[in-house]
Amino acid sequence: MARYALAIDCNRCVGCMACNGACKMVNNVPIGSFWNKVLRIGPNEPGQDEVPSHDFYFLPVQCQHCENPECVKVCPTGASHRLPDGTVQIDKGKCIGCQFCAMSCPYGVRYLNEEERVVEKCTLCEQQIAQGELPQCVTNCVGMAKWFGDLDEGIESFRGPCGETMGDFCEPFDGEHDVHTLTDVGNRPSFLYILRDHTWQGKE
Amino acid sequence: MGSLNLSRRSFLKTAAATAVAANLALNAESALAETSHTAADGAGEVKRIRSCCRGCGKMECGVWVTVANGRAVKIEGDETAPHTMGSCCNKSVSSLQACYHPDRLYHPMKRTNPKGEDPGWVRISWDEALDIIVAGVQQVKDKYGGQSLFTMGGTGRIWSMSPYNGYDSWFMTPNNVVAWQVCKGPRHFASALTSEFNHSWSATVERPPVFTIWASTPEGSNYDEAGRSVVDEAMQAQTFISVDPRTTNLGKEADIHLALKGGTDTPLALAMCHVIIENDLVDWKFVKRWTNACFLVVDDKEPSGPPIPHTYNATTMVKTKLLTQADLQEDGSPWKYMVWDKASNSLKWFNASADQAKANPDYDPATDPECGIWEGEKPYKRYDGSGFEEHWSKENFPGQWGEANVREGHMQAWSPELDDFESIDPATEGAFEVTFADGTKHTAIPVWQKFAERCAEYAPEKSESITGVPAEKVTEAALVYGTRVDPRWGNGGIMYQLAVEHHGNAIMNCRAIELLTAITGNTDGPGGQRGSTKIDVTYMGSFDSLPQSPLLDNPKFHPEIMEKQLGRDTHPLFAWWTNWANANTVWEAGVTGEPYPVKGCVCQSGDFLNMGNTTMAWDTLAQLDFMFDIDLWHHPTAEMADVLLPAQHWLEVPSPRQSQGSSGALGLCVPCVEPPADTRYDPQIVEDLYERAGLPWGWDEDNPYPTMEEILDHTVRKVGPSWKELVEEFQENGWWDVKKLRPDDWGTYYRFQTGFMKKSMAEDPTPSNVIPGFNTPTMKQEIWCTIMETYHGAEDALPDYRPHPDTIDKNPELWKEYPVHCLTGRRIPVYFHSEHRQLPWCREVWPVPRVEINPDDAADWGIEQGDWVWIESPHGKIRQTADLYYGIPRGVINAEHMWWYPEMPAPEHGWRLSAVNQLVNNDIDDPHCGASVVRGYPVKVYKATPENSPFGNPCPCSDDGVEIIHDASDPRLKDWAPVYEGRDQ
Amino acid sequence: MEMQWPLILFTLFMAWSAGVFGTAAVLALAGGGKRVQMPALVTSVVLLAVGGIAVFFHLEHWDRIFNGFGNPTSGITQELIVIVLMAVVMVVYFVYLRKPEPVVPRWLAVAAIVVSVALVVVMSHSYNMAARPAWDSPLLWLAYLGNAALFGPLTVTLLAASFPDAEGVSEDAPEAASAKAVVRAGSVLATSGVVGAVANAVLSVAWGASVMMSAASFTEVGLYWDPTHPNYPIVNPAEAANILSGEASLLFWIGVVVIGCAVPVVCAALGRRKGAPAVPLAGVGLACAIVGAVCLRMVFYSAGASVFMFY
Repeated sequence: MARYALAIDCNRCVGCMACNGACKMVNNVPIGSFWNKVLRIGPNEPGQDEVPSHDFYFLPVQCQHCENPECVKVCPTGASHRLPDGTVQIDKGKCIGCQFCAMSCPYGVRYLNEEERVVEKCTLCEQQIAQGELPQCVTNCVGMAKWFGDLDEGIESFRGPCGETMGDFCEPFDGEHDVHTLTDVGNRPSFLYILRDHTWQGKE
Repeated sequence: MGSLNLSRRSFLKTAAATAVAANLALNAESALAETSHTAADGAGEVKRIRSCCRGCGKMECGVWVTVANGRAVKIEGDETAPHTMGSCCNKSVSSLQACYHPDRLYHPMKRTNPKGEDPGWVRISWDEALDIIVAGVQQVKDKYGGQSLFTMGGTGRIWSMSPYNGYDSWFMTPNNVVAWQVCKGPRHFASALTSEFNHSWSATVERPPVFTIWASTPEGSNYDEAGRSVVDEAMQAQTFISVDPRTTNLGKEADIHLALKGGTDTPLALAMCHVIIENDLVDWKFVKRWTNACFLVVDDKEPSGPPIPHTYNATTMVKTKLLTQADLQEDGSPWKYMVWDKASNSLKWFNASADQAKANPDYDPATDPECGIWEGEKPYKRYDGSGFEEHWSKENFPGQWGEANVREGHMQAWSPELDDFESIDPATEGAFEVTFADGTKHTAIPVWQKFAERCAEYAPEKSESITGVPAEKVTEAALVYGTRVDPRWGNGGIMYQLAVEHHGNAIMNCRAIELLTAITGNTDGPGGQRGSTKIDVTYMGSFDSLPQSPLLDNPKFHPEIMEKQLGRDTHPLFAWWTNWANANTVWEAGVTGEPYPVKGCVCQSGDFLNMGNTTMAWDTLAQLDFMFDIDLWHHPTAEMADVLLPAQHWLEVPSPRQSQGSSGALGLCVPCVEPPADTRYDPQIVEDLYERAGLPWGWDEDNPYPTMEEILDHTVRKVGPSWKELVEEFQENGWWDVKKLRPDDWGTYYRFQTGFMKKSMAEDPTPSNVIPGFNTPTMKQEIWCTIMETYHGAEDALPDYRPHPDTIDKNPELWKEYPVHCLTGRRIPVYFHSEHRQLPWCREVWPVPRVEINPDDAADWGIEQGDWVWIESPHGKIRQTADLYYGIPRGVINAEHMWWYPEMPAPEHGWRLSAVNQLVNNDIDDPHCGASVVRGYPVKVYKATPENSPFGNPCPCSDDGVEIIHDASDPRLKDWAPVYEGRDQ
Repeated sequence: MEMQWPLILFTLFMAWSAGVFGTAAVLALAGGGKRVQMPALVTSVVLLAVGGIAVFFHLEHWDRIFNGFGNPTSGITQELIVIVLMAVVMVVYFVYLRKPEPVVPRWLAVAAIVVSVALVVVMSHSYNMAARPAWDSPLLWLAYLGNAALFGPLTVTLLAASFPDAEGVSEDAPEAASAKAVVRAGSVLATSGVVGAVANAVLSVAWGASVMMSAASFTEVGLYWDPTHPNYPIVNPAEAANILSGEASLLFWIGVVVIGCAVPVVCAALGRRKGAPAVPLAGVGLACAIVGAVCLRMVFYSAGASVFMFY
């Protein structure tokens, strides 16, 4: 039993998109489809003394492996399911391709694999984390913005590419003000986003 | 462990399904083994090979390549590579798609159609290809002379640097057109003028407490440092200063952002120097003893210098207004530069005689008791020849190990105490009357005073109107940079990079920034400007083009050939530098035939899109009698060749990989997969060409055409018994720390004091080449640049702001029609210049060039995000996609460089649609080094509409109206998926 | 999001089927429309089947549908259950209609109405998703019920024209077939036509209002960039569900309000007049109702952006 998730240090994300290729390399994601994407949020209009603006950040988005996943709720066949490790997975053999899961995902991270005609999304590299390794987007994250761990163990224990832990390695942050999630509409996203000194955009 | 079983089962399913989808023959077991990182599994089908990436040309990132059934399937960072911290970017993993790309060149080809049309390539044998090339080159030589041939080199495959001088002995041409001229070259040029060749590099891996990135985005491009190290350093440093006209991806985290107007780097750097001087933050110990700050300028002196020339590549008589002993007395030495000693109120000399050795074989600095010393001071510590096993510098210079915030696996160097003067006290200011040997009286003023006056001209409040940076911000940044966090050493160097080279004042900018680092004591200090990692290993096919035969002639031995170097007449310093012809001048010659025609060319990882005006460059290629290209791909330059030779990919070749910059690492590029079909390794190709041309190649006269194994062994002979054994050691232990391998050459700071600064990288240390100081005429870091003075006069001896002719100050009329300041060339994290546009994993996350526009400007111009916009200058117009970005000031845009579209038809592959250098004015460049003005010129910007776009389509199209790939969903991207079959044919 | 045509057709035909079946049951309860019962039943079965076929075009792997619909929280599972229930009721209904004395018992008519309503509610409920604010309202159930209430009477009116209960039936004929009953059935049909049309109009507009009100639920981030679609304009969450003046406004105003709501109301109202040409009016009304229902579903998808719409 665990609640595996990523914690993302947005100050360290420089929008290099290494996570895109890394993901595709080990998961055979079709060209043109994405298990993860890096969005640039902002910059929005700067204040008087802030020209040019610095108030923006890069936002790596992928399946948030929610604790109360809508996609699992709406899946008729049980193809979408939550594992005891807290990750949300798709048993492609069961998927009938109804895509209700894709519609029910608040973040739009599910898509239909046109060739296999089943829905896919980030698995958090289940094949690797089950062996004690890291998701590839964490391993290859250039800025060391992405950290993998078990929410039950606390965010400080999240691991980086060379065995570092977030608590020891990353710059301090304010647990109250600096930690965010993507918009939660009851699905309780597991991923945590840390952003210091910049304006977090959007609902939580 | 139910979850484990379940997940493994579901993974096997996934792996099987996806393997089929990707046309992979991987079976599920090997896929599983691959992910469990076992080195070999079962029948040994899965291996993890330690190698070094070449997805970009800028950094030596250690990687693990997983090879399953002979096929590279995974690339990850090598976590044991301390200099990169295991960084591995999208370009690196996308190498899997380059290596197996369906469009890769597999065979030599010759064209069957005239230039300008689809070349109609047909496959030929290597024999035929080599024959055609040798004949083609000879024909041009016979008809027009060797100077009509030129070489084109880029910064791509690191073993493909032969165009930098490898072909010269064959072509006998002075004309090398190399991207170096606009990328790093000007920095090397400027540091060679000021202190040491390539000491523009700063040691970010040593974690300076103040981290300054000036004009670059290494976080995404791995420009000289791995993105991971750079991001970590920016986070860790006490203060992170970003100097850039726009907010960069990492710059959003800056503690201080100096958003200067593009090209005003010199005023900004001098303004910061002024603050340093005013606040007495100068490292006097260094400045007085190791720069020429105290040397005396005599304004009305007829410039003169030592009778023996200072040599760089060519002979150069120094002509300076600096006061020498020869000015003062009939038998005075012109090597002895005078200072005013405040202790004795008299003139004293510093004897900068080491250069004599370069031109006078009888002179040995080791036996000259006065060489490199100040009058009245004790002689320097002579090297005892103890060799690399010993840390001579540590034994002989009291000091301490550097200390800083280094991450695990990295060490600092031995930091010797800087010597103080014992008896003299050279003056830095004042005016001193001196009497020349002819009895005339003159006023001598210390260089420092002149420099301080120059800096004062650009004091923050005075230069604010030039740079656009508020004075208080400049002051704040300078104080932070100059106020030592640790009193023992400076706060670190400045990572200044290529944007400072592109505004027509490259050398001035680089010198000004270097002096800022120097006066604060960061020359070769911890985290400071340390230059290229110093180890006597070179990569294959390098600038030095080892292993060249001693029997070979070279144009550099022939002044009459070098005089013909294109651009030399307008760029006097080329006579000293010699390393490149002026690109703008070559394109001009190509188009006009003046001063002489250029009619033949080799291109090896070069490109016509990178400097000067692209249209003129293309027209130059179009009129050539003969051209051959060595490449992995069909791209526009290649499509103008007569013969194409297929090169090999980094996953297929061996090469040593020492850090180009100050990262201090040595690793190896180790072949991971079999090279396909008829491809050959670049250095092999050059050797084959020399052999076919009947010229010797190898370093050994008795073995003119060594095998690749012999070449590799030769290249690494100073660090290992053989290439093979080195590979084994590398696989086992990983990267070498050059600080440990070469403790005196690299594991010691302040080598100007120990004598290891001047010693060249390739030489073994001896008492004759371990001499304190720098390789400048004065043996000092030159605030007053004597070589510059020799060629451009005393007015250029100190840095000064020189806006290019198309700036608003110089040509306001032009800006009335073209009111927008166009910046270009920011680094795109998934591309390396023009490379990787056909790799799906790169193109799908960056389908088209984006031009950053301030949203308020965009609103005024009726442009919305995602619109195609026209960018137009008097020289051309292009389209790029609007990105509304408040990180750029109003009135400025930032376009991308070197776009072409592989999906567009040959020969142009769509370069006319978006390639930004079509906007460039080919008539202007840096008067010193010739770097063309590829940033900071005026344009106008307007929305592309059906009415003003060909085919009624704002989106760029081919000649028959087919759109470029401009979205990740474009199905044509799937046509570029890897193909594994047919590699053996 | 993009139009999901199989689902548009599926929900259209389901509502239509339920409307016809329910109307037939209402008629049966009212004790009329004897001859139209069987055609109505057959029609609703056919519509159910067509809807069922349409949905197969949405499923990518209908070969796997027998893998099991084990998840009771899934809207699709629930739909399947209700469809099966509806089929069962239809079979029973059929059995009763095939009896020598073809009378639909009251309990069965009530069951048919309940299952018809349930089908529409369950079907629309599966689209209530927190992730898509414009969909996440019970007013969607009501709008679809409104569709059904409009389709039913108009369709049955047309069927009844082809299968009229005999004029001048004998006095001793059973109650259900009596002349009185015929008249009553006609009037029930006409009334339910009007009621249905008005209900549809009110509920459709109410649904439209709920869509508009969802606007505040979308996540806004201001300026942003999605690297994979460089030529896409910035999406504006404030506009995502603006069906009154946004991209889908024509569909809403012309398609849903004018054609789908106003015209059927007029037709139904005119149809109540004595001597009105019932068949053409019902035909026009039904055609407009179908167009309106399709438009409503198109508006539904067009406003169906996810709460975080930037990926």
